[in-house]
Amino acid sequence: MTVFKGFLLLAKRNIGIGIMYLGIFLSIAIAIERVGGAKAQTSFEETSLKIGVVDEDHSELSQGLKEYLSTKHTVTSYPMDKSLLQDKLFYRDISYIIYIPENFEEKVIQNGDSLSVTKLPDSTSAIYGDQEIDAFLNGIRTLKTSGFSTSEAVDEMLDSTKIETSITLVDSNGNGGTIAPHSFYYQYMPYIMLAICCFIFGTIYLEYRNLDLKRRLLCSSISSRKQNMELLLGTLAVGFLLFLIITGLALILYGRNMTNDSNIWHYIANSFLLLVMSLSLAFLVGNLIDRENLLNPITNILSLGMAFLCGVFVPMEFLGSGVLTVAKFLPVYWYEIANDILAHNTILSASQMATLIKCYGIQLLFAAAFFSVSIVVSRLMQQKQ
Amino acid sequence: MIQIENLVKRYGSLVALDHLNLNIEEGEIFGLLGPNGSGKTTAINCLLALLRYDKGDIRIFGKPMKPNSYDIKKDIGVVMQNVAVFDLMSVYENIDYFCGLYVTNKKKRKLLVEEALEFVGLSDYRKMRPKKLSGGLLRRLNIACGIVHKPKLIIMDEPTVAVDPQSRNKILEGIMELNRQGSTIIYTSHYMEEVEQICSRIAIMDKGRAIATGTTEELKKMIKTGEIILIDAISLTPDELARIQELPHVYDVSYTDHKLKIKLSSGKHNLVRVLEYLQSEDIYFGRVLSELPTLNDVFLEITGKELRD
Repeated sequence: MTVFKGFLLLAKRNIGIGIMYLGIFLSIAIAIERVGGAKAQTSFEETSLKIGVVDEDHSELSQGLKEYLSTKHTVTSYPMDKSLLQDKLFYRDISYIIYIPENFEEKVIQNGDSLSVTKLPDSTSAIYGDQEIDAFLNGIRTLKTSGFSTSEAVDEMLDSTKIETSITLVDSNGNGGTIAPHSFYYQYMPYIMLAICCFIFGTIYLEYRNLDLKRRLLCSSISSRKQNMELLLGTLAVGFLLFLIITGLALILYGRNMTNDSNIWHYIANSFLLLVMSLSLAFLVGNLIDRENLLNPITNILSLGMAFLCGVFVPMEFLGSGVLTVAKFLPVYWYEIANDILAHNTILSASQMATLIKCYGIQLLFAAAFFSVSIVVSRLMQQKQ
Repeated sequence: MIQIENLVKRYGSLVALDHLNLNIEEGEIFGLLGPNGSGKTTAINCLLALLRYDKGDIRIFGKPMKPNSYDIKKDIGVVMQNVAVFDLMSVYENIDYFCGLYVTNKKKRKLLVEEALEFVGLSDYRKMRPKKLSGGLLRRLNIACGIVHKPKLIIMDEPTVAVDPQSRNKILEGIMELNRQGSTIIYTSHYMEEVEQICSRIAIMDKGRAIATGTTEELKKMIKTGEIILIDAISLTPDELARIQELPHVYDVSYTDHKLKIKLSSGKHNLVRVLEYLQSEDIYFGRVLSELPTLNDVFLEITGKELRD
């Protein structure tokens, strides 16, 4: 097993680079998880708006509207002072202003005029405020049409606010509606896996591609077939060790959060296939380049390029359709699709499971393709030599 | 020990080996001497089954040599023309790696590696990486990797190229020591002094053929020249030159820039006879040198060109 042991020795020589890449990876994964990972939401609470009301009608109906809104929101009455109201809105003392005109009932309920409001453009408070007013006015209109007096209609609407609805949070991934922290770790994994594999294994393969060394090894009493098998074994052993380290780090960092995740085996399977693909790609890189100074730039192009194109550093929802079309031709895209499904769902539906299996299969196909091309390249190089 | 018969190797229209015949006996240091491009390295590569040849037969230890002749390969040590070591491994690790390709027993390997380190004088550099070694030390490491498993046959392809004279002497002494320890050595070089110094038998190669084979003395006897006399600072007339040409054993005289070069066939008192003639004619002269023919003279006389190109 001299060749195998030699391979391990050469891998050991590159351990410093591996630790450096792991450090970068862990820093990014932990930092992003801390910054981007939202706090888990475990209870429901209705949102309350700060509403200012200018009531020029002072009728039973306008009082009813204010009371109706007060059940959920903070309602404050203001005189008709435009600059005061604009200041209040600007400094966010209030987020919504309602102007109730004289003859409110006649103008708005009977004639169907819209109620004049001032709101923060394109804000959720504006939409929510609109919905609340519409609910009240539509309710009054319906009740009046049904024969209720204004007073009865207002009472009915106020009574309706006393009805409580029970809310159940549907927690699809067990993290209170947020993404599990370890999924960020797995999201960034392709960068580290590709960088470490291409650099470390590329460096070793490059040593063995030295023509003089190759010829010298061919003179030995160990067949080249056996030597190649031992090299392959070395690659798999070091690759598996890398996989164990990365998975072990995830378990140390995220502990129970990860072990309690029902998708843990899928995360492991997905990252294992990523490793197989990365090893295969590293083998191709080692066979294609013939100079050590090319290894670093090519490693960076591959790892960073795929990371940016396939949703590792920038989530896929922010990527353009053109970029995503290109990304479909890269293996990391399929890894990230699978990771996305695992991050957002605790219980996998049949279609999600089918997509996962498709992603796994495509990654395997990429690994097989890279390996086959490497063999062809290697043969061509040998013939050339 | 080694028989090469009618070996032919072509690269397209170029004939690298043209019916090469060699017979190397056990215990020899056999020199393959020839200018660059004469076919030495091609012959070695065919011998090691690294190259396929078009015609001929190679037998080592009485068995045909093929790419999968691992039983033969285990007894062969190879020192390539270019240094073939792992840059990422230390001196010790490199020697151990190459030893491991032949010897599986860990204890035995450790002993052999230590011996090889001692033999090439790299014990103090065992932890250094090859990139930090000088050219001479690197060559010594290359040799250590080739001989560490104590092979019966060692093939060295120009192991002293680009090596300083001090390291070269150390390497040559080492090769002779290996031979004394029982290894048969095939040594290729285009440095004739080296080959003359260490080889028991020599084949001179040119255009893919062994144009002459034998010991140094045998090779020198193959040519007409037995002695060369050089005389500096001399003034001669054409008549005097003609009379020198007529002296016994003289077969070639050249005179340029007041320097006289006389080639003579083997014979007694050649130098005395030339000097007596100059004295009798009262011809003044400066420095006088008498040289025996070198391998270069052998090569020059056989091929009509210099060995060193």
